[in-house]
Amino acid sequence: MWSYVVRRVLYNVPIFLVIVLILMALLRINDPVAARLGKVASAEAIAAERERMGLNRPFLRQYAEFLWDFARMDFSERSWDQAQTVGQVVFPSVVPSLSITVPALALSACVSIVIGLIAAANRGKFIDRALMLGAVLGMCVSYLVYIILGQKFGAFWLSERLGTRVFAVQGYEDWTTWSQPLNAVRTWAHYCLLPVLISVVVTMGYDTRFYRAVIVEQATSDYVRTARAKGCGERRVMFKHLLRNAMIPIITRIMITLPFVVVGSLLLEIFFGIPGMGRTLYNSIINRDFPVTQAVVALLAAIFIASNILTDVLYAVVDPRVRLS
Amino acid sequence: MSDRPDQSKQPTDLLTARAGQRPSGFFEQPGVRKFVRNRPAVGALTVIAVFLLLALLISMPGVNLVPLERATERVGPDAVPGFFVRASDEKRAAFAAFWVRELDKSLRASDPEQAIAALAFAERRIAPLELGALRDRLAEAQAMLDGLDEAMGDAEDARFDLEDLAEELAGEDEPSDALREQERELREELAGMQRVVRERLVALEDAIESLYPTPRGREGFAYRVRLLAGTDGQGRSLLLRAVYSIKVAVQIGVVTALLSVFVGTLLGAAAGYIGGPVDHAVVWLYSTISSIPYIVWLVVVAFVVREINWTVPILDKQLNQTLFPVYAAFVMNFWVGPCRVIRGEALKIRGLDYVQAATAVGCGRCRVLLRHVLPNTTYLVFINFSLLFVGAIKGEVILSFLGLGVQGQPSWGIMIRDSQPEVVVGFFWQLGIATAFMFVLVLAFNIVSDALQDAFDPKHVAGEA
Repeated sequence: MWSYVVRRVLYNVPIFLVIVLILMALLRINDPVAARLGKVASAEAIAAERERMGLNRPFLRQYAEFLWDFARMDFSERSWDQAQTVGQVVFPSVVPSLSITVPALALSACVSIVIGLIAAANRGKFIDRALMLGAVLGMCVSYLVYIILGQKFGAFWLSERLGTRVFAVQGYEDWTTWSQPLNAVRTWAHYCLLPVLISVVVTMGYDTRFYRAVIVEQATSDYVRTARAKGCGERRVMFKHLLRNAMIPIITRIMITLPFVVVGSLLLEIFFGIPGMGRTLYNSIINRDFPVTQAVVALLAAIFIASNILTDVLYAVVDPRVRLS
Repeated sequence: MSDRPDQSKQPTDLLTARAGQRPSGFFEQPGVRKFVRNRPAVGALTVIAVFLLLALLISMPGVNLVPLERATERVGPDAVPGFFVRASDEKRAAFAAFWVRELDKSLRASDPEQAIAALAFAERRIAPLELGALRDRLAEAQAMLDGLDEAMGDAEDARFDLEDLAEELAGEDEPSDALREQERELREELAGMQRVVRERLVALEDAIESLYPTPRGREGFAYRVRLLAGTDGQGRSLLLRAVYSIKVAVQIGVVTALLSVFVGTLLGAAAGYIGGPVDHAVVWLYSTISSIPYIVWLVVVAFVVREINWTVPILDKQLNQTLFPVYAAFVMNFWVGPCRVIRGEALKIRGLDYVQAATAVGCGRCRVLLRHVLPNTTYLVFINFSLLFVGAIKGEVILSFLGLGVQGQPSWGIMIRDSQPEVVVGFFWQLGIATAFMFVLVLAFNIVSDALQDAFDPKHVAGEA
């Protein structure tokens, strides 16, 4: 098992290195200093800033130094846009991001699997057809439409109806106060639950169709017939035999959904004013805050690759055959 | 199986015998026949054809179905509801105020004669009157507008009073008769005021109708078409904007899907068939690209390409005014999907008898790849094309929302983005019309790609792109 984990990590390290290389090169295609300082800046001012940022050193040296800083998680460069170091801008944005992404991923997987099970169990009946038609139609609407309507009805309309603000229209507050767990959950729900629900609704269309197909495929297989023949109850067949064997495609699916959830969380963060990594990335790009862009992108890539490794390990846990390949 | 080529004829030699057993024409292949039997899929294909045709008619220089100027000119007041749904009294008053204000502005211009001559909203023009007469009419209309405002203010006050009174009544267990009487009177008073508001509104609208007569005949029809789906926050025709956006969507979809499928197919087939270091390189490349969320590539690439200071030669436009940044961002991400699928298929095909036979006969690698491997992945190419088309249309909305997408022309993404403040105040027409157009096209592509999958690859698990 451990050798498998080590292999996966070693396989992904060069990928990360190349991604950082590509991104650093991409961000240097246009001179970031000239873009930041604008057309009015004199050539000397630009040259001085390049000197200060170390942008006139050889590219590979910048690359090596950036990697060294990244390995130590030492982001002490100053942001161009805010009076803070890059670390002070980037690190606080991790928790808000995760407080949307993780619940969204977990909740959408659970809801979609349940709906997929319901549809598969009623295969060919009205409820199955209705659910699948809904899923197809739901896929044809833009993510942004869900967000706009979700904010309108979840935040504005609902508050008007109930007289109290259930969900915030926008904004975020640090909810990680472990001394008062109830309060923490309430704060989280106030700011983050609506975006999470929107994300779940959007991913549902894609996921339920897939889970239904997987479960239907498993349900018609021989081992299920054997289980029934030897007298297993329907529930036992469902959960003990079927769901366990469907685990591999389900994990694959969750892994496939991950980038989609990240896209969503970027949109949701920007729309709902949640200071997560997506919003930090977007703001740094729009404000031409080059040091922050570079750091956020590298950090996002690192987190994403780490989650890829985690899914690979999960595979191996679920299906021992994977370890051998 | 009766429409198979007649096999009763005695074959003259072995070659023609084998050709006779193979389904010949395009429509006789089993997959194609299965697809054609699928009614929704054929309908969806027709819808796609209509959209493509519209896009062609819009972009062809000779036809120019909806010129860009038509999609960006003002045709009336802001936020007019679509399908001639009657707006609320407040909004109707605001529309009237708009017409009055425009006339006022023109009459105050340094050269009123010229300003009045130019005062037109698409087909709806100012009445051909003398300047003096127009001034008199304007003064009249302004007075009516003031009267209307006053009446509406009074009605508003009366409604507040009534609400206060109702609260007072609800608070008491045994309301006195005097209080009830007061409420009844107030109610009547309010009803009277509302009648006054209506009357004044109708009178004002008549006055405006005589100032700006609604065009008749052909022009009237054209104007009504413009207002069919209402107007946006700047008084532009929503229907024309949505129709014009078909061109933008098709353009983005076709270019990115074609390029990505081309690159992906070539690399995938080469990797799968040739194998060895080529395979390793391609797999490594796509796993690198898909190792970070595609939105990050999308945002970074779109941004970087937009910033490049370069004038595109033929179009004679700055790079950030064209769609190239959008194409670049999409193709960079999208080629991975087809590449992965087609590599897998090519790996499978490589081991099949007919490829072995072709190699044994002495066909070169290139010939086997182009003549034997690639043709057998055609259905995958089509499926991936339609999946990527949908991906591009949806991605355009996201990029446009982020301000990195389409520039200088309307698109569904821009319409959806612009609709956000309108939705908050309860005006859904812009969001609705853009979503409806996009919905139809995306649904059609989804149906077609599902049907292709059913017809050519029945064992495939639905939803797995």
